[in-house]
Amino acid sequence: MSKTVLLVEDDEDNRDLVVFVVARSRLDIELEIAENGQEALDKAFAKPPQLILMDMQMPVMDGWHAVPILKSDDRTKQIPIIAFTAQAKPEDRARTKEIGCAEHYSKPMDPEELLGLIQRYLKL
Amino acid sequence: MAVKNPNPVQLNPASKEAARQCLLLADKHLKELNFKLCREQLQKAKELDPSNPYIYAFEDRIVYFEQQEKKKSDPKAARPVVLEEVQEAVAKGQPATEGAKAPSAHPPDEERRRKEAESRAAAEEQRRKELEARVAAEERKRKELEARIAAEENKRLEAEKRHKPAHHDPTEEQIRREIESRVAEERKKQDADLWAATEARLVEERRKQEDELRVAVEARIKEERIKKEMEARYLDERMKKEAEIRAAVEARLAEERMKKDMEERILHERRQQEVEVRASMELRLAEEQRKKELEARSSIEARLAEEKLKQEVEARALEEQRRKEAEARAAEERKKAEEMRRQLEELTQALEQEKKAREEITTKNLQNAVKQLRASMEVAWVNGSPKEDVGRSLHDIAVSLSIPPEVEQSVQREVKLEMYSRAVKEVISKRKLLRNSSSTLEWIRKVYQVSVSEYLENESKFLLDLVADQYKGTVLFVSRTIGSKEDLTPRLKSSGFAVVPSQTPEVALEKIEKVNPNVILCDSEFPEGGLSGMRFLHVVRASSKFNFVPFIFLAEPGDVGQLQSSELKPNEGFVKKPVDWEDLTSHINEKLQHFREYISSIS
Repeated sequence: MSKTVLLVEDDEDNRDLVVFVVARSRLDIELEIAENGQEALDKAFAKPPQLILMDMQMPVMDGWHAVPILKSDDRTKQIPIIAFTAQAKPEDRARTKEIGCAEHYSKPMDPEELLGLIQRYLKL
Repeated sequence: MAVKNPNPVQLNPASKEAARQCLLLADKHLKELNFKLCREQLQKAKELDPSNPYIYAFEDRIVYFEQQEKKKSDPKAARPVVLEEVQEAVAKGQPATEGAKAPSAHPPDEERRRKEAESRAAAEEQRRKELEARVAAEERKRKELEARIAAEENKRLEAEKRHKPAHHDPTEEQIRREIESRVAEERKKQDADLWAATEARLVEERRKQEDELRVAVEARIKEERIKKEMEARYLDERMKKEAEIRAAVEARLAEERMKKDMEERILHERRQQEVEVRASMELRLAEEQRKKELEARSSIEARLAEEKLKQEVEARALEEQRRKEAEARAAEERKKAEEMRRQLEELTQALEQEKKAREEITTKNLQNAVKQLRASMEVAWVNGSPKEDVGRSLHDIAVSLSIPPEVEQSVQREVKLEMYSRAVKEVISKRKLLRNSSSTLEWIRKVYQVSVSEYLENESKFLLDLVADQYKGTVLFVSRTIGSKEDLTPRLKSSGFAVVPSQTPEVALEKIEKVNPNVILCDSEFPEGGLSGMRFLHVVRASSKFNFVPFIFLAEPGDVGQLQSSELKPNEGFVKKPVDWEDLTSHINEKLQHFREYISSIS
């Protein structure tokens, strides 16, 4: 039974790169994609994934708004969320922890690191 | 009436006229050939005017006409007359008879003509004689008439003498006599005139006749002469002809003789030839006999020889036959062997062909199989090395397609490298999003299970693939900074340029031909003793090949003024040191754009 990871990312290149890396991970992962916070909420509520990779700055609804909603809903409050953002300042890290994110991963990414993180949270 | 008054002196003009009329009538009758009436009229005229001399002339005419008529009406009768005349002429000893002596010599026409001419001449002669006789008769008559006139004059004078004394006085008588004498004189004169005229006429007539006769006679003589000449010529010609004929005859005779001689000779020769032929025939026969004998002998000998030869030949032929048979057998054996060989060859060829065909089929099949396998492998290898179970299934496919393991491995390797190359390209295109490109590439190498040795083998290919997407051109970079911290080479490379670095213009000149750069970046200053940047530019521009290559100086602050004042071309420029990267790349792009436009305008 493959595990589902929801990638919430508005930038296409970033999305493609994550898809590229995950596809070559040899991990049994099904990658769901949402382009903004609202879409992420819809998808997460409809079919709760095992992990959420959330970009924080997005149009329509950014990660700062979406994560608290996900964390406040019973269906999704158990799902670990990895903040996937270019904001790498310590206060930003602290803030993501505050709103309920399990991890803070700052861009630019490293394929092996990212995969390691995913693998760790999915307990694969 | 004229008889009653025969005195011509007393003839009145009326009787003269009547006589003339009678003569005219006579002339008319004569023309009508009525000779009887003509003579009657002539007689009348004679009675009326016996002094008319024409009457006598007319009689001659009648005679002439009668003769002519007789000749016409009875030419046969005329001939004996002519002959008689001729005979007469002959009797008289005239030379005209010459033709008569040899009448057979002349042709009958000519003879006849000659006789006629002779008779005519005789007749003319006769007529001339008759005319002369008549003239003499008339002379006589005239004399008689003169005598009569004289007598009558005397009578009249006597009568006058008788009448004069009685009737006239002597004066009157004298006057009368004088008148009478005058009248008489007058008459005498008239008579004399008349006579004279008549005589003159007669004389003229005679002369005329004589002249005519003479002319005729001369003409005849001439004719005669001509005839004689003609005859003489004729005779000459005849003689000539005869001579010719004789000559011809003699010539013919001579020819005939010659012919005869020739014939005789020919005959003689023929005889001789015959004799020779006979002799030669005999000789030939003898020779032939000899030959035949010889031939017979030789033929016998030849037959013997032939028989010997035949025997030998037969012996040889037998040997030959045996040999041939042996050869034929050998040949047949050889043929059989060859046939066997051929069959073998054909069989081997067929086998080989079959093999080939099979190989072809197998290769084709293999190719198809490989294609199939490759397609499956590509699907499996898209995201890196497949899981074990997928790998196993791929191997199963290869086995099922009867692909040999080595082929399977090579195909797998090819597919792996291909997929790796694609992954690298994809990652490189998004390298801005990656924290570390090299580590990512390393991760990808692991994902695709590309060994380090495989990577090194194909590095250039991967790099080319990497560069191909971003390649902007080759930069000949001439700078003292190369290898130092200020070196722009890495940045230029990462911007998509292939960089050929050179620390000095001299080294750059050595490389430029091979490099064939799209842009030249060059420091303005170099250590003393070598070429300066400007000198290097001039050297490069001296070559037509590099005349249009963009050239950008990296100018020391002290050289900016000099570069600004120097006349740089549109494909030349400078960037002030320390180099502002944006300024430099925009300069390079600008010059390259200019260069491309220039190239496209040429083409």
